[in-house]
Amino acid sequence: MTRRVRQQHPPGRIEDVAASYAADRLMDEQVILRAEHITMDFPGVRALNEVDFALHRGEIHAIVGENGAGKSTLIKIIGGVYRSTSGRVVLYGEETRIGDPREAQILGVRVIHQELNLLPLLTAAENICLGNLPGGRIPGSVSWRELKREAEKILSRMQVRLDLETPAGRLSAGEQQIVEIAQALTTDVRILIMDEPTAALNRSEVQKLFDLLRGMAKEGVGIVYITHRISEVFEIADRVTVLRDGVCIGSMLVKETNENELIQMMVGRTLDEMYPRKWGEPTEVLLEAVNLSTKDGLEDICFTLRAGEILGVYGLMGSGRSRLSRALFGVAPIGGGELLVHGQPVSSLTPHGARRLGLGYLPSDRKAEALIMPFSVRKNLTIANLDKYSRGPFLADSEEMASARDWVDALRISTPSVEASIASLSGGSQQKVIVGRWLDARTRVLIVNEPTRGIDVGAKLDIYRLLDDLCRSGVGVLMFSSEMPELLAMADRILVMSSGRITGELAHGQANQEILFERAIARG
Amino acid sequence: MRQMSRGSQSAGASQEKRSLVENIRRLAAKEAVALLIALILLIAAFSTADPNFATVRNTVNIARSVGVLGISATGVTIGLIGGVFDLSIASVADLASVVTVMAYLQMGLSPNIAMLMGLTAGMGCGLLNGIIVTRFRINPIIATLGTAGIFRGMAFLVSGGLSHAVGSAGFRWLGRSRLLGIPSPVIIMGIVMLLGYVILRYSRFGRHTYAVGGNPVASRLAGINVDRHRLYLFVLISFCASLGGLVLLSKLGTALPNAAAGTELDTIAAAILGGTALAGGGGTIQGTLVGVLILGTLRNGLVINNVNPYWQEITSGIALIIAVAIDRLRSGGYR
Repeated sequence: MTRRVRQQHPPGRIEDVAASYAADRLMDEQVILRAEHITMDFPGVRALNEVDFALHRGEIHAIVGENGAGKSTLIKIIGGVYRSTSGRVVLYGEETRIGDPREAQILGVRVIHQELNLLPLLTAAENICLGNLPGGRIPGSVSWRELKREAEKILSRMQVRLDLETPAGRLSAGEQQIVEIAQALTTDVRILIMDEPTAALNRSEVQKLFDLLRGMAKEGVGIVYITHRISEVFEIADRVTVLRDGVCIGSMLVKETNENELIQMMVGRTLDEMYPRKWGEPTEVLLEAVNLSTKDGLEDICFTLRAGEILGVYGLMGSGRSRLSRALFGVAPIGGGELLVHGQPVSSLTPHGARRLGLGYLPSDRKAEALIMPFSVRKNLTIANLDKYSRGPFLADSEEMASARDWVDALRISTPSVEASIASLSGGSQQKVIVGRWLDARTRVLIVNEPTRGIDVGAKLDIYRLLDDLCRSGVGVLMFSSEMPELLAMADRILVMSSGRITGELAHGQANQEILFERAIARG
Repeated sequence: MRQMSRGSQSAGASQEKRSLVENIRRLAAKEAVALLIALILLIAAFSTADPNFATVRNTVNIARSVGVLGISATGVTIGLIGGVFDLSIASVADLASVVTVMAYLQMGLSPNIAMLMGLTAGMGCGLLNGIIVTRFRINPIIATLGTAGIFRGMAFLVSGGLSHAVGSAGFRWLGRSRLLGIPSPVIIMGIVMLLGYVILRYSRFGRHTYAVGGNPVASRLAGINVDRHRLYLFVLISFCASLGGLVLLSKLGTALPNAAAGTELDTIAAAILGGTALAGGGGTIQGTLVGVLILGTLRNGLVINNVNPYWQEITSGIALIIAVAIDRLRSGGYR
C-alpha cells in the first residue's frame, strides 16, 4: 500500500494530487479526512477505542480532552508516526495507510506536534526550509539565497517578523512555535494538524495565529486543533470533538454547545465532584518568604504559607514560577532576602538541607526528575528517608518493606506488589509514589509542580483528594500550576507571578479566570 | 482503571517486528541464565578441543589468572552502577605497584607498609579523578582518559622507566601463596567481591549508588549529595584497581610501570558482560563474577589450544563489543 502511495503521488503540487481524486469519490459534502473505528493498543494499554473523526474542507475542528485522553495518539496515527492497531483513515475519499511522516507530507497532511522539533543549532531560516532545501546550481548544493527568500516569503504570508539568522535554540518559545508553523507551510498543506499550539504563546501571538488559521481555512485547508483550553475552542473552532480515556464522547458544532457541557464531557463528572476540598482554618506559619530574590531574575518575593492551606501559584511561561519553586527547595541559590522555615531563617539551602527542614518537592517532569526508573516501587518510596530504615550503615529490609506496603495501602497505589518496577505503574500511581516518598520523610511543606500533568481523569481526583487530606493533617502545600481550573478550585489563596515578581494575591472567593489572566500578563 | 501513560512509544510502532529482536531481548533480559549458558558452552567447546582443559589443575589456573581482573572489576562494577566511568584503572594499578616498590627499595620500609603506601597513592589518584569530575564538571570519560596518561607518566617517572624486581619474601603472600590449597589471588578476589556484594545489597551506600546511577537528578532532589557520592565511588574504584595492581606485583615479583597497560578493556568488558549497565543504575557482583570467569576461560582456552597470543587482544575486543551489544539490547539500542 505504501509503495503505491509514493508512486501515485510523486513530490509535487498538492492541487494536482487532490485533483487526481475524482470529484465523485469525495463522500459526504467535502469530508477530506475521516478516521473510522480507530483503535490503538500499546503494551498493557488501550490508548484509543473505536474512535471516529471527520474533518471537513475549510473547517477548524478542535479536539479536546484531558491529559491522556488520546488526542496526541490520534493525530500521530493520522500523521503517520504510529500505525493503528485497527480501523482506517480515509483521505480525500480514499482509504490510505500512511506509513511515515514523509508520506503524510506528500498527501498534504502536516502535523505540528506539542513537543517542538526544531534543530536548535541551525538558524530559523534553515529550520523553516528543513526537508525542502532549495537546490543551487551545482547538484547537491544548497542555494542560501533561495532559502532566505523562501523563508521570508512564508513569514510575510503569516504576517510575522523574525530574525532569520538566529539559531532556533535562542528564539523565544513563541518564536519557535512560529518557525514550526512556517516549516509546515513550506509544502502545500491541505490538512494542518496542531497539537496544543498556544502553550507557549502570549496574547498577541495567539491572535496572530488565529488570524493565520482563519485565513488558511478560507482557502479550503482543513485544520485540526488540539487543546485542553476550552476558551480557545469557542474563539476559533467551527466544530469540536471530545475524547475521554481513549473514547470519542461526542462531536458537534461549536455553536451548539457551551463550556460547561464540554467540560462535563471531557471529565465525566460535574465540577463539584471533580475537586474535593474541605476547607478548614489554616494554623501556624510554616514557610515565610521576605523579599526573596535570585540571580536568575526573581525579585521581591513575599508570601507566607500556613499549615492546612494550599497556596496556589499561577503564571505563564517565563513568569518565574518554576524558578521560584526550585529556589524554595534549594535547587537554585537564593540571592537576597530571607526565607524562614518554621520561623527560623535559612541560608544556603540545598535539597539535602531542605529535606531535613521538612520540605518536600514534586517536580513537573516526574520521569526525568523524581522517578528512579530502574527501582521498584518500594525503593522509590523510601529513597528520601533511608536513615529511618538503617541500622548503622546497613539497611533493614523488613522494616522497609512494611513501610512501603503501608504507604501503598494508605495512598491506594495501584500495583500488584511493592517490588514491581516503577515503570509499570500509571502516571497517577507514579505521582502517588512520589508524594508517598515525601510523606515518608515527614514533610510538612510540600512544594508541588503541575500535580496532575500526564495523569488521567480518574487518578486526578485521587491526587486532589490526597492533597486535601494532607492539608487537613497539618501539611502546607505550595501548588505551582498552569491549570487555572485546578488552582481556582483547590487553593485557599492564589499568588500570580509575572516577569519574576508577584503581581497579585487572591483569596479563593475573589479569584476567577479573567483576574488571574490579567494579573499574569501585568508588568510587575 | 485504565492505565494511560506507561510503556515506550516505539513498542506501538514496531508491533509487527516483534519476532526476532524482541525474542533476543527477552532472552538477554534473563541475564543470569544467558551468561551461565555462555560460560558452560565455552567450557564445553574448549574441553572437546583439548583434554587438558577440563582438569582440576587447569581450573585452578584459570581461577588464579582472573584474580587481578576480578578485584579490579569489582570496583568498576560499583562505579558503573553509580554512573561513574573510569578509564584510568590500569594506570592507577601500575602507579600503586611502582610506588610500593620504590618505597620499599628507596625508603627502606617494610613490604607491608610499602604496600599500604601504594594503596594510599592509588586512592589519592581516585580522589583526583573525583575532584576533576565533580568540581570542574568534566565528563568522566574524558577526565579519566586524561588522568590515565598522567598516572601512567607518573609511574614511569617514579620508576625511572625501569622495572624493579623484589625478591623479598614479604611480597609473596599477596599473590603467590596458598591458603588451604587455594591460591591467594582467588581468596583476595573472593573477599573483595563478597564485600562488594554486601555493600551493594545491604548498605545505605549501595542503595545510594544505585539511585545516583539510576537518576542523578532525582537523587539530588531526594536529598542525596550526588557529588560527594561520586567522589567516594572514584576512590573506591581506584582502591580496587590499586589492590589488583599489588596482587599483580606479588605474582610477577617485579614492578613494571606498564604491567597492567591495556587491561582496562578486559575489566570493563567483564563488568558489562556480567550485566552492569553502561548507563548506570543496574548491575550485580555475581554477574561480574560470571563475566570475569567467561573472559578468563576464554583466555585460558586459547592458550591451551596454542592459539597465537596476538589473538588474545582481538578476542578481548570482540568480547567487549558483544558485551556492549547485549547491554544495548537490554536498554534499547544506540539511536
